[in-house]
Amino acid sequence: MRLEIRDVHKRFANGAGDHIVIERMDLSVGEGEFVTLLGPSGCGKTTLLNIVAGFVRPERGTVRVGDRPVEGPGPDRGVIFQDYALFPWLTVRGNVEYPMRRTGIKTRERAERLQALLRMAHLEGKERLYPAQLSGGMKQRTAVCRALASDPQVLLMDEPFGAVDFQMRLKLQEELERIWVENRITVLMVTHDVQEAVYMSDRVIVMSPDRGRIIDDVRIDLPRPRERRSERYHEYTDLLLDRLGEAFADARAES
Amino acid sequence: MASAGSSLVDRVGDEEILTGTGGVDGRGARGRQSWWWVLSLIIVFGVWQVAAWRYDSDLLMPQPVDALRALGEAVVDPIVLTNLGITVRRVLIGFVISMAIGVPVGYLMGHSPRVGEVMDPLINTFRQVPIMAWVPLSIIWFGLGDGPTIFIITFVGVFAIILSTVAGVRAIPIELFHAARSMGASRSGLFRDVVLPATVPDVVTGARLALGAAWGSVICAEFIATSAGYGYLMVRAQSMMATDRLMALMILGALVGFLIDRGLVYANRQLAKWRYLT
Repeated sequence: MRLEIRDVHKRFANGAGDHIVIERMDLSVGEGEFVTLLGPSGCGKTTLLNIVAGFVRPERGTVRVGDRPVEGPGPDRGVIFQDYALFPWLTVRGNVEYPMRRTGIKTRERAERLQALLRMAHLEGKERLYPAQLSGGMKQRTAVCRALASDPQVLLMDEPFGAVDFQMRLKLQEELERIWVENRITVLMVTHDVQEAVYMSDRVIVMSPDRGRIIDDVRIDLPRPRERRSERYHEYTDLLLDRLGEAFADARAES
Repeated sequence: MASAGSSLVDRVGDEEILTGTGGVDGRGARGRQSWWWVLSLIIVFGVWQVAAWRYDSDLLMPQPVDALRALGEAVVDPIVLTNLGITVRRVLIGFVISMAIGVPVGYLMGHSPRVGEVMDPLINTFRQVPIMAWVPLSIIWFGLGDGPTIFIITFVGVFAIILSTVAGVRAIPIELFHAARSMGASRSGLFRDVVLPATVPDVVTGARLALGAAWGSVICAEFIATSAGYGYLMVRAQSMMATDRLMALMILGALVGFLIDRGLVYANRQLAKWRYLT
């Protein structure tokens, strides 16, 4: 489903007065497209994601999923949180089934879908474990399953690999990329990791801390799965690093 | 106030870890611990025995053997058991009332910052009055007997329950609410789906603190405000100068308190298994 962000404004009041986080943000994510918001911390990328998720209300502007305007959180947008936000009192099974229960999927279909999701994420046999018993990688994959369980039209990810070590991060990126290729769902991801942005995305939006201005909108034109060592991969990485440099210059001008 | 509450909670939490759910070397740690138990009992009884020889007075310091014999008699004495029953009944009634007040108030305060702001100073003010200072007033209000004792039990317990519940609600990460909402939970469903399961351990911790405080203060209240119950029995033993019986009743009182606490620890393990995973 298409995702349309039109003329969105968001400001936060802090000690020093009003701070404009996002001003006049326009962004479209096409059906089945993987778009990443890249920028230094404080550039409003997480705020924008939270607006799309419906957790934060913008002062002005609209977000549309397909034809429907976003008016609050809802199961049409699956969310993967930075620290996963799994329910610690539910098992893997309980967590993944939670959105299915809330959206009224029948017991029979729930069981089938649960198995299909766990198979896809290599979590078979882990149904009865609680989050505290899972490794970082398994938690992350459980969170992916849970976000996909309600069959959302858009997947929102807030630094989904932030909390795992480097080796695991590469592995999880590859796994998530494979899952995404199988499902071809519309994705909006937030990260500050250039490598991750190039590896995963169709398009990378570089944001500035100066009112969330879009510095560049880069299409990553590489076949999947991507070869991290290829020359063109490095060209994209270098290009995005340059753009991030501009964003950081904005950050210094801000402060 | 919340911090004072959570430090209490933390202490109980630590003790929980000390008594061990058992990690890899859980059995070893537990084994070692029971040896320390035996050692400390030997020290207590040793000091007691030496003191008893030194003072050589059944009134001031009876022999441990005599106290233990009196304990043996007490646990089969129908008078002791009846009065113990009266006291336990009071504790349970007071406890149920304090839960019925404390848990909903705690949820309200934790949920709404405004309710919290209004209630915080109120609770903090009342909490500062030493609990036994309420006894004379409670006798004026309720007369002698069940009334003042149940009032004291309720009063002393309700704060622990409120503070612990509030701390539990406030400690729930906002992401869990966001997650539930984004997966289709209604606003009102958040209480059932997130708040309730997340706070079970905190509510049980509050219940534990409340029952401990209740058991401690009810006996004291019974010294004054009633002519039945465990505390009354102790006063009678004292006035009959039966020090060995008095000490036996103290030991039995400690055992009952210990059993109540273990019961709640067990309940917590059953209700919130997820908190005690290794």
